[in-house]
Amino acid sequence: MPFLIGPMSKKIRSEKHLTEHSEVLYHNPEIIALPLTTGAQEGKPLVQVGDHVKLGQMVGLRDDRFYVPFFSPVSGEVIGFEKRMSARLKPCDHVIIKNDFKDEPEYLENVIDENASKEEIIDFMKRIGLLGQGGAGFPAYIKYNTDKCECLIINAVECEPYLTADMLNIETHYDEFLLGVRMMFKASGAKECKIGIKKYHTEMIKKLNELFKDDEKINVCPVRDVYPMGWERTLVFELMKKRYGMLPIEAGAIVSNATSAITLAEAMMTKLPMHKRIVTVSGEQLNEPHNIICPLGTSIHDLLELCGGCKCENVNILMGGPMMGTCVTKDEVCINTITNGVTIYKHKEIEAMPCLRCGRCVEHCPSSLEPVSIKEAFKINDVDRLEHLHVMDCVECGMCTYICPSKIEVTEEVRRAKRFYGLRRKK
Amino acid sequence: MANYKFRATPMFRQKLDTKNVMFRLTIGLVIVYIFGLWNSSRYGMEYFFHTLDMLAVSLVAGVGTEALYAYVLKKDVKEYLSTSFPWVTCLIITEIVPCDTSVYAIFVSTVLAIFFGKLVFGGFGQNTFNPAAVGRCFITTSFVSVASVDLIASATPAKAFASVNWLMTPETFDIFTNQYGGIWNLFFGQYHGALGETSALLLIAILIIFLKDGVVDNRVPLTFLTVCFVSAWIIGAINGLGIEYAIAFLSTGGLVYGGVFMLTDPVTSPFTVPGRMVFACIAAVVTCLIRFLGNLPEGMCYGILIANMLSPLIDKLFSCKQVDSYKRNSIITYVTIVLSIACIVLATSGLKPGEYKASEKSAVVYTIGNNANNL
Repeated sequence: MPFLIGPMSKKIRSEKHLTEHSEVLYHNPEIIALPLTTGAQEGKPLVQVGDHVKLGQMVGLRDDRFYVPFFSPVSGEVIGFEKRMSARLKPCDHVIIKNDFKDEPEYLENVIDENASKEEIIDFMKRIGLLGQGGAGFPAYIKYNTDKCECLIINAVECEPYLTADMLNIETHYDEFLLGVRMMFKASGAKECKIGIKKYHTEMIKKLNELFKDDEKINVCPVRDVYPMGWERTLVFELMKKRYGMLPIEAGAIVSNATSAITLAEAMMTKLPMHKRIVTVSGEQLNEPHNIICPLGTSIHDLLELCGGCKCENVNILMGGPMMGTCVTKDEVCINTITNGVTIYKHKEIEAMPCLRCGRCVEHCPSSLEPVSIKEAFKINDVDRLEHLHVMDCVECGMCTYICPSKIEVTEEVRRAKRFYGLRRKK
Repeated sequence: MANYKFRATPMFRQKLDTKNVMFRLTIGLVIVYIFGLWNSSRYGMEYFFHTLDMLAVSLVAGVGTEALYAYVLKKDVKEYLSTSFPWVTCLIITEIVPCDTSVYAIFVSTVLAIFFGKLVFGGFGQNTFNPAAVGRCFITTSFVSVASVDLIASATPAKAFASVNWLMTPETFDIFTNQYGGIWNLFFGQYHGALGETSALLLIAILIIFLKDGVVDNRVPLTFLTVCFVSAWIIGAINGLGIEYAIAFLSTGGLVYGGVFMLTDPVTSPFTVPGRMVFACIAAVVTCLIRFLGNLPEGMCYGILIANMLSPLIDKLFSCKQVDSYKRNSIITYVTIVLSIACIVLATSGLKPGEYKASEKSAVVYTIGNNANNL
């Protein structure tokens, strides 16, 4: 098959060594600014200025199409609300909490145990606000609310070239991972469960095989070391040889991130919702790249300081990995449940050469689109052509920019084309 | 205090860039040129110097034209040249013209090739036609009298092969190959011809290195060479010849050279994967039909130009979401490959192998050395 279609993926340079063996740091900041947002929609605050909040108390709620609660990651006093830039480049409401370092907990009610039924687990996922923690932040309870699932895929691929947070999380939480995967497997009602993990993690594959040796239906499946193997569509095709339209459930699959499984298990064990997470802070321009465990709502400013600051003056901050992350221009941006990394790059202008029409972007596009044609169609504002080229199927994985030998910002052009097409179609 | 700037994501890039690709391509071309130089030196020093002259004149003409263009448009000349790569075209033109072309013809055709083949379209990356093929066409059509001071017409295997319409009976094929020291001698390039045409072995070795490094795309050369080879094999079998005929068919003339260095030019070939295979098939059909049926000795540059012309159309045919139209695309592609082979084979059905007489080898070699001054 690939001979007529191109590989649709590419082995990319890995820079994971920067943080793979460095020490894990802990951080507990004095001021927390919790963003009340997941993706495009904002949540409403449930507390007022001056209120005393406990660790794990619900402070905000998003209750539109999706039900997503927000919990206080520390105990302390609410000192205000602020509009700040979020990871999605939009200003949104943040709850500012002054940390009293006492960590008074407010435990969850009706915590489920290992014998819970499918409905109970899904309800619990909803109550703890479990999101897909691979970066998209799709509420988990919606995914699992189906009976068509044949195969549950646990995504432990982590194909962003700088990030090591997920792998480290599994390495330090094997018991939680075991419990979480079992609970998710039960909730999905699937016939089998596959854990996708990159081939070269031989130690971890051995360890996981050991761990799941009692569960016959849960298999560890090593996958090729290519980008974007961690993307749902590529992973489903790799493990099940099926393609689908919109959601993986159409192919009978549910894809969940490994960190989500660990978060679920932690909530069951500690009776607290997710309040901390592990973030990879990396980049050649940082003095000491580290993995940092910190409460949600820690600002990037604190994280960069912990890593010893930057080596040069003009830098770019990326929320997430270097391929799919968004570039933010302020260090007041705070991490939320779905931030898995912060990457620092030296700012430099790249001079683009003329497009060679070499077709590398067409061959490697994981959505099998034609970035070069989309770019040309956008140049002449041809809406019909953009429709024919399925411009909206682009997931902005960044492959076309990575692969382009002429160093053209192809992904950015396609992003603009998507925005343009979206606006035009509404009219 | 650090400044936080904005830049479009992603910032992670692969190391291979266009300059690197063109640099490797240039190295490949230079290796072919050096082989040609060494090969020509064995036929006399004057011939050797003529080869040097051809490249020098071509380079001066090509780089000069682009520099003038950049100067007139008030661009930074040095910067423009480093992103426009005129020397690639110059090297290719030098390597594909007949080895006795006068420097005057090369000068004029390089200027025309660079200007009408490349600059009028907007420079590097915008051209529809392969500039070197355009230049080669100028030489064949406009400079017949100048270029065809053909001292070695009877000597180059391509012309000898063409004189019998590329078809032979087993007996004449033996005479033909023996004249050049056997079939493998033809394959290794131990004979006299245009610089780039001679050694099929060297070209295939360069192709393998290019494919390994990702310098050129793999579908175009592989499809092109496969279609040509399979067709020649079948035609040979019909005429009672073995696989040697197919090897000789590929080793003589500019077939492999065109497939490795000219068809693979990314600017003028389609960017969809099935499109590239169809593109290579079209080039193969045109090239082989001109060989068998046309008046011209060699059809490679016309094959390239006609396929170039069709490449936007081919892209339009396959332009969609590749996964969704996979079935349709694969049917079109495989049918095209089978049809092209059938087309080439059927085209030769009415032809009869021509008469072929061996020329005297020793006489040929001396003529080149003595008459090089007349060029």
